[in-house]
Amino acid sequence: MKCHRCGLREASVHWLEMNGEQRRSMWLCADCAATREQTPATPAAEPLVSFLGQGLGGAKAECPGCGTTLEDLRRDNRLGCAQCYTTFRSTLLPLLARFHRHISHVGKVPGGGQPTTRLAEITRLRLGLTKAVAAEDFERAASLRDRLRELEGPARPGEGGQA
Amino acid sequence: MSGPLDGLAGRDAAWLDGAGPEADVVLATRARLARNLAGFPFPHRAPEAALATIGIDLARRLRALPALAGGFHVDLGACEPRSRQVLREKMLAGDDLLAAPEHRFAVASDDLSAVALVNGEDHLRLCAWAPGFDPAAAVGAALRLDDDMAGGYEPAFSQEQGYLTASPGNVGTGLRLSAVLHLPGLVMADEIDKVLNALRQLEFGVRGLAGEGRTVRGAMFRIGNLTTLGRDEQEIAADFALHVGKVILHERAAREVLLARDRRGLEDLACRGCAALAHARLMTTQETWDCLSHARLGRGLDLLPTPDWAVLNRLLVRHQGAHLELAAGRRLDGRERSAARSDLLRAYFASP
Ligand SMILES: [Zn+2]
Ligand SMILES: [Zn+2]
Repeated sequence: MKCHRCGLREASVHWLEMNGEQRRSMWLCADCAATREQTPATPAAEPLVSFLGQGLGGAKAECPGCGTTLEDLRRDNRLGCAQCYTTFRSTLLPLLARFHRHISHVGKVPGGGQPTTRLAEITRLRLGLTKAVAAEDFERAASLRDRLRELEGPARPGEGGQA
Repeated sequence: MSGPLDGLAGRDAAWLDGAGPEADVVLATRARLARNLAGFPFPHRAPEAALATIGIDLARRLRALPALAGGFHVDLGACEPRSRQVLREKMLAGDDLLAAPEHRFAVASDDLSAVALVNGEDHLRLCAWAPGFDPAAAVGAALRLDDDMAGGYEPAFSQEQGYLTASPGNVGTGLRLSAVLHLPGLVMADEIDKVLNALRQLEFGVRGLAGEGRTVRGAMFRIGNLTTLGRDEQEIAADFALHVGKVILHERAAREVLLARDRRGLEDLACRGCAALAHARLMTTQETWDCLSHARLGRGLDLLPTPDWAVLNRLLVRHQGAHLELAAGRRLDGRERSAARSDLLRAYFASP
């Protein structure tokens, strides 16, 4: 096979460059590979970063915990402190849902407590929902129902697929 | 060029010994847990004074953990850039820790199987490595490290989103599981793109091993989960074992097809690789990645009786620039590096 870049010499190196979603795969000769080695690729963006950039609307908000603004979030793709998760909750939830396919935590909890398993969490939420409805706290009931729906929700993409 | 990394630079990680499961395809598996301290801004937002306090306190607690005691303690702010690069070449630390070294620390066990990184993207990252393909062992070890650290600080945690991290991509369990795979069969059969695309659909990230990880050398890939929220640690590990396990099977199948098609060609490739490693007097980086890759392929298909997996694994780390320069004790230009690299390779390969 001839080199994909110069088309002259015999290709000996499989060259693969990855930049976020984009991937460039080619076969190069040793000379062209050595040349490419010198040119650094642009920084790779993690998939969520592009989600963040798209999802942040024009709302004005600043985190009281660390002073991070939506502008900062869009620029750095990073939250500034734990409180940011509350401050920017309404912006974050749809992004988390799209990226992780879930919005609430299942798994280890600090302090050696029982880890939240999916089943335990569903049981807990169902109990809470019954109580909230009985107490006519419909706002709470609605939020519990959303979380239940999310937990019991559609099959995750990993299941039954093949790598 | 003496410095705080002297002992660490010369150390081969225990997880490179080739003794783990599926060693013909997988070098090692790593589990990493992201944690932050409640009440402090995340590192990129924290004032110097807070970083200094957190850094000193966490590093002190980490060094007292049984799993890390008697190991290495690296103050990255006190290292020159080349020494920091050694941590990257050893796969122990990434850009987030190396770019701004002040108040950043790495604490590692003596065998480099457990590593804690302080004040990188998150206040604390706990990493555990296992040789070969062993997601359950890696996750178990990381969770034990986390248990041992519990009580030492109050973690930033919410009932709803779990462990809170600087990047929303790590929130929840904070668990990123990855494995280093050698996939020459899929590359040579031109099936690699198909497999990588399938992995991407399943929300796994793939990168190279060398440099910043954006280019793939020697068919070495690092594959890891991208999503951390909504599945518990065991489920993440099981999913990883399932899907990355399939990649291993695909790789072996591709190798068998290549072997059936052109056994003599593969033997030639592997033996030429070994010959260059054992006898050449100037070896470039690219050549070395390729020769090591071909030697591994030959070894994996039992075309070659030697070398040991441990030797092949360790050389993948040791042939890189910062390791060569630290061993030489000075800066090396391109040709000097190639010479030093070939000397190193011969020392491992040419023994009777
Ligand atoms: Zn060329
Ligand atoms: Zn904040």
